[in-house]
Amino acid sequence: MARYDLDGKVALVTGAARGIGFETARQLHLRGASVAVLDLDAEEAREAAERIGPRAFGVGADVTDEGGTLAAVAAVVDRFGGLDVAVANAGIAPPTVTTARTMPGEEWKRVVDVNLIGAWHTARAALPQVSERGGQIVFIGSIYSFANGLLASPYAVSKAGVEALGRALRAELAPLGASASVVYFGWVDTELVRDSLDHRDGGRGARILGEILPAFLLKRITPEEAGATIARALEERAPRAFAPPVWRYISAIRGLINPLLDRRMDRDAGIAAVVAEVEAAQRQRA
Amino acid sequence: MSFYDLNGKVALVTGAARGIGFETARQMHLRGASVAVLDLDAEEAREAAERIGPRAIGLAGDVTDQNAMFAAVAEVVEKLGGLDVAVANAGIAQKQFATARGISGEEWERVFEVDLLGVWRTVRAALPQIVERQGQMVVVSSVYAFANGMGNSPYAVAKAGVEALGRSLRVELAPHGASASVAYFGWVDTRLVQDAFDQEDGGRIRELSPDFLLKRITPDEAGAGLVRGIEQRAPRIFVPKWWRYVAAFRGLINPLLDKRMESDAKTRALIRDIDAKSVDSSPS
Repeated sequence: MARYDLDGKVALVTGAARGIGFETARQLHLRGASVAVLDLDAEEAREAAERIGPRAFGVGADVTDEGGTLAAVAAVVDRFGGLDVAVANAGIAPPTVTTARTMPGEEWKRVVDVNLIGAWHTARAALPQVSERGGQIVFIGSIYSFANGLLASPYAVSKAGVEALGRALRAELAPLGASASVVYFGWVDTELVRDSLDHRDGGRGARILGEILPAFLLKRITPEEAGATIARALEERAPRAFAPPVWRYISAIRGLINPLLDRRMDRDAGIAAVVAEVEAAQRQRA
Repeated sequence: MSFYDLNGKVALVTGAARGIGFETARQMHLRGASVAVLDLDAEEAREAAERIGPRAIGLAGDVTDQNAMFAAVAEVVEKLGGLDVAVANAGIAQKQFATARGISGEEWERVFEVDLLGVWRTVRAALPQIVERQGQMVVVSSVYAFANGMGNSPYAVAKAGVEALGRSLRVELAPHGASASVAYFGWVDTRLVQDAFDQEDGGRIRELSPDFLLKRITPDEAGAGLVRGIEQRAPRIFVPKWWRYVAAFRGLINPLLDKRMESDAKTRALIRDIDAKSVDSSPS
């Protein structure tokens, strides 16, 4: 497929005040696109847009509110005359690393609301413009789209759902000359990852992952690398992109290795001890 | 793993007034379990329980209402003495094939509410009992957990999420001696599938797939497969069984199938027609 030139295009990135979203917006701007920086806090969105450059503008909106995403897209169209690319990046991690059984219901549901319903709202709001202009929608999947979601079930549930949405949408957009992509990240050195793995509960998350994954799969990439991956995926209209690249191969053999890995986890004494530990901590908190 | 004997156990099945849910409840009852038949309509649930037998009770419950699910489980415990096996089966499909662009937002979210959040609410309500009694949580997913959800996106999104939930739960429950299973059904001859595929576009979607993938099984076979899986505490239950191999190769074949779908002329024509219809019929 011919290279999709971002120069002169209009892009909207959700969750773009910092992290992967900010880097994506910044790099699309560098390639000549006008960018709308959407975030929950209008002030932070505006500040981020200022740091990015002259063709960037900040919008405050909550992706869990369909009206909010519709209004944001209308504002972008008003400002830049249209919308070619939407990157549904806004996402959160569960505030507590614990089992589905002991995670407060509101926390569980909130993760799914932001990560999955938020991506749906973003796509819905962007679709009329994107399909009319032969544009693109990028969904942020994760290795949790196919890895076992133990102690992070709402995250895994939402990322598995986002992947399904992106794939279905790509097939549906093809006849219109528009497209959708799913970008899968491993660990990116963002606030989200540092908070949930390194800071909360004395770094329990990182310790648990060390228990489950070999070191080479724990390597963190920078937000810059993540943003570059998204920009490249857009230029190639790639159906899927992975960073670090090793996850592409793991994804390819997911159906074969997941039953084996899941089974190993079922029986792993170290994991059983961790589950007992987090559930006990959660009882104490309650 | 050793045989899990259903005789004397208590089971709850959601969406059990008909279809796969009814058959699952009926066959667990045949094996000696007491069963709670939950469905949206109290009268239909009661009638289904009567047809099943003496150790069956009917319960009204809406899986989109968390408090109703807590109350339903409390009623099961009160009337049947506890809860060992919960089957989160209740599910709906969108009224007709529609693109994500064309479907109404309310309908998309309704499918998601029932098919994914409904399962999660059932899980939350049942888990305290399941863990205490080293029982089983069965979540009903679908081959749509890994097949492309073109024209049917909320269903595919929900079923992919259900699979992820079930896998996580199984690891989290293992230390307690309890377990979770994910059930994947192909095309079962239920009202849900009949409604979807017996319409015009359904027929055209069928034409795009090889015949062996489309063979419909009866609710009776689906229920039997599910009950066998429970007796084995199987992590994954596939009916028809050969979907297991499709699932195993999903990471390799999905990129190829998805790509074919994008470029296939018949598929593109079908999407254009579905799109035209649904975009026209949805409120702007």
